[in-house]
Amino acid sequence: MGRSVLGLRRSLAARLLPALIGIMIFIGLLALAAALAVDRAVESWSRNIDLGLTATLPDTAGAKVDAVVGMLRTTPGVAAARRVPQSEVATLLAPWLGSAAAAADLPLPVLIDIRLDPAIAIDQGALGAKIARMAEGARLDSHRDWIDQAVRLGRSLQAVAFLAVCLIAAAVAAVVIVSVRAGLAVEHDTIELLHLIGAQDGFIAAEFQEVVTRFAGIGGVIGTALALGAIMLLADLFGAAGATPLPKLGLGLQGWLALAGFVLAAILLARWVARLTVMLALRRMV
Amino acid sequence: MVRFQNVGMRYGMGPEVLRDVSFELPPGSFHFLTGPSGAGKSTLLKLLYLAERPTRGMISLLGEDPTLLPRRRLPVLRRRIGVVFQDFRLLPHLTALENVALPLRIAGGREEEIVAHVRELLTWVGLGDRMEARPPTLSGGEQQRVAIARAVIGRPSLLLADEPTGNVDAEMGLRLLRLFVELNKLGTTVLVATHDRALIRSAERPVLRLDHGELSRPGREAA
Ligand SMILES: Nc1ncnc2c1ncn2[C@@H]1O[C@H](COP(=O)(O)OP(=O)(O)OP(=O)(O)O)[C@@H](O)[C@H]1O
Ligand SMILES: [Mg+2]
Repeated sequence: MGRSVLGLRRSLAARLLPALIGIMIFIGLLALAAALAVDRAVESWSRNIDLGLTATLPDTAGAKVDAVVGMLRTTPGVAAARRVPQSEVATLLAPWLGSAAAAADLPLPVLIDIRLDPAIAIDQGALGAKIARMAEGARLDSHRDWIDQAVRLGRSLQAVAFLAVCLIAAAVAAVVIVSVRAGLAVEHDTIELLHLIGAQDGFIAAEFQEVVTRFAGIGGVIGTALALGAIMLLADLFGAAGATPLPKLGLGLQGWLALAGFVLAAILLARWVARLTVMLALRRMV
Repeated sequence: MVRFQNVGMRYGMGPEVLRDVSFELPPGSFHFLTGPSGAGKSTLLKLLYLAERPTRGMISLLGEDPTLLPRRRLPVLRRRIGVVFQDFRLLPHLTALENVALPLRIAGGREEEIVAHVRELLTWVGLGDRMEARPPTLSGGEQQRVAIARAVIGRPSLLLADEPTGNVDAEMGLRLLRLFVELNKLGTTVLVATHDRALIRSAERPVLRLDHGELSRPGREAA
């Protein structure tokens, strides 16, 4: 049929529904993008950290350093061990001590960077104790505590983001229910007439469903455009802050597909809720 | 075709506006329904087009008891009943043509046939040049003819008309009556509620008279 039988485009709070759905899709996309980015970041942190250890020796260790490096290189499970040059250590500590650290002849610790062979498990406790025996005051640091904390924070952020996505779905449903109910009230007499001339409930529900789908689609396009803009901007800011210890944030193909799926799911949800609301309400009519 | 047995009807908790109404419309018959304003004519028609349910009594309609039919089966029954509402009930944002085509589109007809059929009927009721007009821009009489066209477009088995000539001059009234008579000849059972004595006289059909919700002596209108 060329024209909608009910004047729904006017009565469904026409300007408001696309805007509201657009806003919710925008927020939902940001929350979802954040959750996905954190997920990838956490994964890459734990992968990298699992492959590396750092041994810290006091600056007084002297010749013991070479002995420790030699011992490490012959330990099964260690792929490589390398003394970090003192100039690099100074650079690493510069943010905390200032660049004058080296010049000031401060006692800098000796760092040994250890790469692990992922195929062979090693007993870090035993290895740490062995190093401490060889050089007094030496520690083996796996960054595990730090990373565990970061992972826990990341997972919490993710849980909050997914909760937000669920709440947004509920809000989309609620907005659709409210505006469809309003439309049903405004069009009560017309709907009664349609019934009296032989319309099935499904015919009337289809009218609502089409209009709501179109409005949700408009909202989806607007919300997606805004969200893409915001995500690009954030990605740029993260990219610019290259000096931070933050890993590169990205979504990957799967992430982008998930975002598209979210928009599609929101539109289909609006469509389905519209139909259900109409069908339930019409059961009480003539 | 239609049988009422001791039908009573009240709106909500109000008084009974129809009391012990019993009558029968044989298939292919043509009756008038008359009576003073407020007698219950429109209410009786509402029971027939399934807009209201009786509060007591038995109704048989096109071989069905509508009070026992499940909701999902009502549309098919309603498509066999054409109604001219006293207040027309045209959809204001659709054109005359779209209004008349609505019952056919709802029933799922073929689009080209629908349009050809609707054009023919609108031309017959003298609206050939107003097909694209919307009801608010039509005169009362023109709206009435659109309403009549919508009621008869689906060749109903039962045609119910509530004051179908209230807004047209005597000549157009007779022309519309002839449309009903033609339809009746094709087998449609017709019931016309009206105050119009001239119309009743000209058609020489049996008359049901309602007074304060009660049906009195079915018979022909005395001249
Ligand atoms: N929806 C309604 N709710 C309550 N009472 C109603 C309703 N519709 C009609 N009535 C009452 O029922 C009685 C019969 O009304 P009805 O419309 O059937 O009369 P009518 O014979 O068609 O009158 P008219 O010739 O003026 O059209 C009246 O007293 C009216 O006030
Ligand atoms: Mg009336």
